[in-house]
Amino acid sequence: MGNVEYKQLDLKSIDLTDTTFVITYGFTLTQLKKSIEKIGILNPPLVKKKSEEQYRIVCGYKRLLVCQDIGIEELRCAVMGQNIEDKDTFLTSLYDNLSHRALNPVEKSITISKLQKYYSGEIIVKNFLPLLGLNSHYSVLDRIKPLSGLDVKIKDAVVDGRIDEGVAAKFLNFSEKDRELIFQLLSALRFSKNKQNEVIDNFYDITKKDGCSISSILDAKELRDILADSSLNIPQKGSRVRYFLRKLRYPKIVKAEKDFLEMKKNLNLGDSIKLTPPPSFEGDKYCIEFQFETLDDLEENLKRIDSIKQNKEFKRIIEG
Amino acid sequence: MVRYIPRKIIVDTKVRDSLLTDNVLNNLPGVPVEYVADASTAIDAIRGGKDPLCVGKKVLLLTENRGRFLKPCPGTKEYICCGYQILNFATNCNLECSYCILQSYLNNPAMVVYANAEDMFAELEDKLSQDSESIYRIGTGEFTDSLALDHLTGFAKLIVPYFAHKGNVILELKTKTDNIGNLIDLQHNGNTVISWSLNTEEVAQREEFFAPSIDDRIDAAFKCQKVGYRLGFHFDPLIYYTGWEEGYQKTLERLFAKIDTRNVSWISMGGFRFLPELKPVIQKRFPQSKIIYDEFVPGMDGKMRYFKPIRIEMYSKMLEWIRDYDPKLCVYLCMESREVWRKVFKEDRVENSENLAKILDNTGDNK
Repeated sequence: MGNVEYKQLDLKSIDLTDTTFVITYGFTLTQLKKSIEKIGILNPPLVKKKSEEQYRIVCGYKRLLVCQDIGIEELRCAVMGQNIEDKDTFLTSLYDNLSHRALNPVEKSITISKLQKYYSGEIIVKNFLPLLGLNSHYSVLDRIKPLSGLDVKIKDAVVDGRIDEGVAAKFLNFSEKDRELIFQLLSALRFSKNKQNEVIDNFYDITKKDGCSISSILDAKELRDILADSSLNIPQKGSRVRYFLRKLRYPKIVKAEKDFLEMKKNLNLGDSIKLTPPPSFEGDKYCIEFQFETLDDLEENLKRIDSIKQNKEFKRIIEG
Repeated sequence: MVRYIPRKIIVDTKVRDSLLTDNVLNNLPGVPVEYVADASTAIDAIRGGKDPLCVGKKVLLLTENRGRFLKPCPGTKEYICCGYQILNFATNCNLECSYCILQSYLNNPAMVVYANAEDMFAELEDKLSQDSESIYRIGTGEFTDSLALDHLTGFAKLIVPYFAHKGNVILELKTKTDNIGNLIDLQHNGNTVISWSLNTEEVAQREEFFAPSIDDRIDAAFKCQKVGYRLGFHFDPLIYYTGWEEGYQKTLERLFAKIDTRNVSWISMGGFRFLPELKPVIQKRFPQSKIIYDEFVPGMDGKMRYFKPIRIEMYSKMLEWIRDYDPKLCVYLCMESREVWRKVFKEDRVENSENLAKILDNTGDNK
């Protein structure tokens, strides 16, 4: 870190809006505030002079914000020598953070963006991604880097785990307005990670396939009715919204599924016999399954099964 | 068509003195050459670097194939396979087709030519003499375009005359190019089928960036027809889009305006299918492409395929249009189930891969 001098500084001389070397994102100050109020600052923040009157934060961003919050006017700080290059100053901040905690995905993204001022993509991939606990690969760099550019709401949702980081990266495929609309929907319906992925992929694919906008999809009466239906709970709404999007994304497949269910109903197989098509209708093996208690049950089920051979719709599906 | 020229050639010192290396270096006098004892460091650097697929195609690696050259086509048991043997003399392709499966299939992003052709011929001699009764259909166009590098390697000049004297082999050179200069004067003895991957002109323009137009491909086929080659055509991948019917009909019209159906060994059809990993690659590399946004389902081999009724509709119509030109033409489906075969051909004549292989062996051998 080179030469450091300890000085009593006026808090006003530290520019708290200058985050050149700060990577911290997504935090609460409650616990730290209680600690500083009780025992003060044990470890002085590290700053570096940016002009005659002003200093820039290197380490201790949250401590300084607490000081501002509780009205501390002066505090002891470690001041870095001016001879230390910005690159090394940033590394000091990074290693200090990494020494006592794991960075969240947005902080990793901020770190990568800031490292790009000083290092080539190759060096970042090779040396810094592993340091951040990421795989040393360009595709990882491409996935993580854009997160810091997302809207605050989405970044906050990533930090507190409401939105998966992989899903968050997909938000960047949409305009700011569309991101907001999709985010509102995902937040309201509290989808799991897999369902978030499915929904955002379907949104994207539908816009590509049909050349329509996100707002036009969301404006559909059927979707608005689902969201407004007070008789449905959140998981029920989520499930119906997913089905609505699936119908738009895969109209032929969804119709085939519906037709199959309709045909199955007309076969009058009863409750005890299950007829299952091949997954996605891709294979050619259908499955019939039933349970029975008595020989009469068995006889009855076999008769019902035998009768479906005569059903025209069933024959069409099986034989083409 | 602009012929492929690499920005750099890497020569594995093990093939420094091979004929194919000589050919490539003589044909590319101004291109920088690096000799390496082990190419893996250079390949790792491309693979781990930015945009490996794009950068890799600019590097031509001449190395040795340490494994077997001849391998069965990696078909899966869930679908009926034509029983092709792949002669693996090169990997990767410079034509930049958006849908190319090699983008998510190959481990090495460079353009690779296996220059130890002497080992390849030794292996072929050994294999073909072991079983002189069987017919071998051998192709070079599975992991590369058979002719895309031929102006550099001259590989066709070695392989076509070699197979001209083999009684039990049909060689298929499968291409999208018009790079047929080396083929015209070769003695082929009817043992080589030159085949083209065809599509609609719209698909060719939108999705097959550095490939020649459909007319240029048909013109190239016409030239090969003139010098007596048997021909094959592969409508693979068939792409489903608004206007596909008119598009494919036009291609067939142009094709059979120049090509005599009696010179055609076979026509294959295969719906667009892809490994799930390919979708993000296409989204990133070809953002304007819409082909991945149709209705696909996971196939029994793990690849995404058009929903079955879409495939059946496309194959049935294509078959009808092809049969209008010549009902005797040998048309087959690439990697489809017995059910799809039955529904398209309205008969159960192809029950399994062995059946199909037999049909194609006989058709291809029909000189």
